[in-house]
Amino acid sequence: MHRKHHILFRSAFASLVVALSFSITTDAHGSDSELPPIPIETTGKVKTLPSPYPDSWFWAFDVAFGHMLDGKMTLIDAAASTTRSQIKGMFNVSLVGAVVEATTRNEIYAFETFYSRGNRGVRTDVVTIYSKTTLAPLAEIVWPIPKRYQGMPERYALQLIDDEKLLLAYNFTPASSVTVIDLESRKILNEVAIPGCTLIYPTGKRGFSSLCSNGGMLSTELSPEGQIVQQTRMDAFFDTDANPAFERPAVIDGVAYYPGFESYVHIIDLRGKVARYVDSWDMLSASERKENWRPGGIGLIDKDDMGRFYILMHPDGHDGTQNEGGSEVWVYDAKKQKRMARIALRSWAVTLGVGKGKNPLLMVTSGDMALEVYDAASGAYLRTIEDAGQETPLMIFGVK
Amino acid sequence: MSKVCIVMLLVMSSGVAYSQQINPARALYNYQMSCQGCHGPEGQGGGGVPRMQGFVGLFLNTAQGRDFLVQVPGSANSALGNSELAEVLNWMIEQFGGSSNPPGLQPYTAREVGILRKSPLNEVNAYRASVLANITKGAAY
Amino acid sequence: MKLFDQFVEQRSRKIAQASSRRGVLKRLGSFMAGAAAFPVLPVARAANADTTSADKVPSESGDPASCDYWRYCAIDGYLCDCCGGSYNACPPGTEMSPITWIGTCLNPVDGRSYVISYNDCCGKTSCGSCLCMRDEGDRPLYRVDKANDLNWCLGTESSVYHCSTAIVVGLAYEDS
Ligand code: HEC
Repeated sequence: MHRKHHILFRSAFASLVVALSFSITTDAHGSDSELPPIPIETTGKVKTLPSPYPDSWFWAFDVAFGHMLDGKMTLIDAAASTTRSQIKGMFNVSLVGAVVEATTRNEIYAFETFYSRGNRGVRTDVVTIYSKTTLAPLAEIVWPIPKRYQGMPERYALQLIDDEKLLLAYNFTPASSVTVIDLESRKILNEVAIPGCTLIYPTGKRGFSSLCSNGGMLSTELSPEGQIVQQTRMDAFFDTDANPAFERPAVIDGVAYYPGFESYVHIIDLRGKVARYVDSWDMLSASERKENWRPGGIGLIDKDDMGRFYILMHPDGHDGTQNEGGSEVWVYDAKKQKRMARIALRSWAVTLGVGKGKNPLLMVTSGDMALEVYDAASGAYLRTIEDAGQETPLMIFGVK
Repeated sequence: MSKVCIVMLLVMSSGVAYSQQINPARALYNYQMSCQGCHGPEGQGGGGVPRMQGFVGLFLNTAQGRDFLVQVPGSANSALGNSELAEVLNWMIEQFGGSSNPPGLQPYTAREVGILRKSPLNEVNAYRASVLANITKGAAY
Repeated sequence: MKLFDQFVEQRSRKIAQASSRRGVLKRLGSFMAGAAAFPVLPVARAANADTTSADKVPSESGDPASCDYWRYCAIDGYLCDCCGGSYNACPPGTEMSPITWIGTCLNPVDGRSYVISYNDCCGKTSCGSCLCMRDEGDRPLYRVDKANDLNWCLGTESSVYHCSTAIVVGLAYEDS
């Protein structure tokens, strides 16, 4: 402190001497007092965001694993190269929540939990509706009885269906159910039990399917009022003990591609009223199978707008490595069932997200929780975002 | 209706004494691995999970209730095979049912369980309430 | 954050070089289990002859504050042992969740598989010490009885997650 003052004083003194000796308008720092003064600014300004968001923007969902009451979503321009142009804004999501962004509404939804005394007290579960342009809360839908699913972030714990008229939210107590919300009235319409099943994979016009403990699915068709029209079970398409599938599919044009622990992809058609198993295919060549490449990670899979999915892979996989992430991202054409590229990552990664548009960016969360950006088409490394205030950004979403 | 008859037949034909059909070590292990996480070591439940202690036997007073214990998603959709599931259910009833168990318990058989679990319940809460209502109304077995 | 880094780094390194270590343990264990199941093997018989079972005390070895500890084979979270609790008790002022997930781990000392109940301790925010994620036998959410990716602080006063225990609740049953 003392020293700093001293230096300041010295430099001020030097300036004065210089100014005196050279007189007039320019001091030693080249400042020009002839310039007009900076216009007076108003206080109270708050920025807003463009609509739609540019293709290069991403949401990094930081669950704040070390202090979960304080999770947040940070909006990042992955094409920008400085922190000040990368960070666009953020909003909070309390207690390992779930989030989903609307495409046709200027809204993004956060399913979260609060306690009246922070970590204790009366629990409130709520869907908070945020404005995409202001990131301010627009409304809240409060659960009559708190029962929200809390856990590692899942893309399919909160989903929009029926042209974004209905919002579906996954509950777990450990009884499983889905709350149906009408987004026009912002009211809860119904709670649908999905016994023994989990998560929400939008199905048909106004329905969803859930993965069940026996490796099958339960499809629920809803009326516009959120009532059950029918519930239909689909037979098991994998063995949940011996050869499990990840609950994290890439969904492309209504068809879900569920990767298996052992690198088989299961195709489930979700375009009809009821989920339909189509086929399974092998992701690996014989030599890759020998090296035991397996998918792994938290947000381990995502897709682009051209029908490709991207998946984190690691060699020497075994039961127990399924959440660990990967050293490479493999890119597949889902329809052709063909691998298009292998992207070797600079660092080990645990989560990935793919941006929108014709030339998407690929963002991964590395093991040290930095965000690395790649060109999705070429696999070229572009930059690392280290200073986005992130601690544990375990899920990444390309903006809608 | 016919399903109930089949079930009754299966029950009648299994004349072996109740406990003799249970391998307690295996049943305990399967219960622990597949059920205890939610139902607790003593079948005490908690959260959204009902207490089975001193209660589960009540369901055995009607055919509908007997079927219910298999059709409930935790049972029907479990990873256990039919004979293992039958054994776990029989063991559970013996362990936790206590005074709620009606006299003359008939063990579930693998076949019975196999048939019933093909029609798991989609909606549990309201159905459970109606099953219990029928029991308290004294509907005959 | 640092811990998280370390954890991920640890794991990536583990995968990179020696996914074998646990594999070795497993193989060793199944050999030992095999030996126990076939007492005709001379080694096993000799051991039985030498010592009566009454002389032997149940034993486990390793550091319960280390992620390598045998009981933690399918744990996912902060070790209560590093948070003021222990491997089978919650830290002061927290509440143990009655609802949980259950798996088996092999005790390398006696070659037996035990049933482990991974009850979470709840009511305070993340302990922050000794993050440990090992996922042997872990299954996604659809197999709730085997899923460690969700917050098991269910049926407790507060669902805020603090740390995880690993309680031996039984012996794995093996068909002989
Ligand atoms: C994920 C947690 C979970 C697991 C694992 C589980 N159950 Fe359940 N069980 C429940 C819940 C919750 C209910 C209440 C009904 C419902 O909503 O499904 C229930 C209800 C029941 C009932 C009816 C009791 C009553 O009073 O209504 C039976 C019987 C039962 N379960 C048996 C089993 C068996 C047998 C297993 C193991 C094979 C098992 N459950 C595993 C959560 C579970």
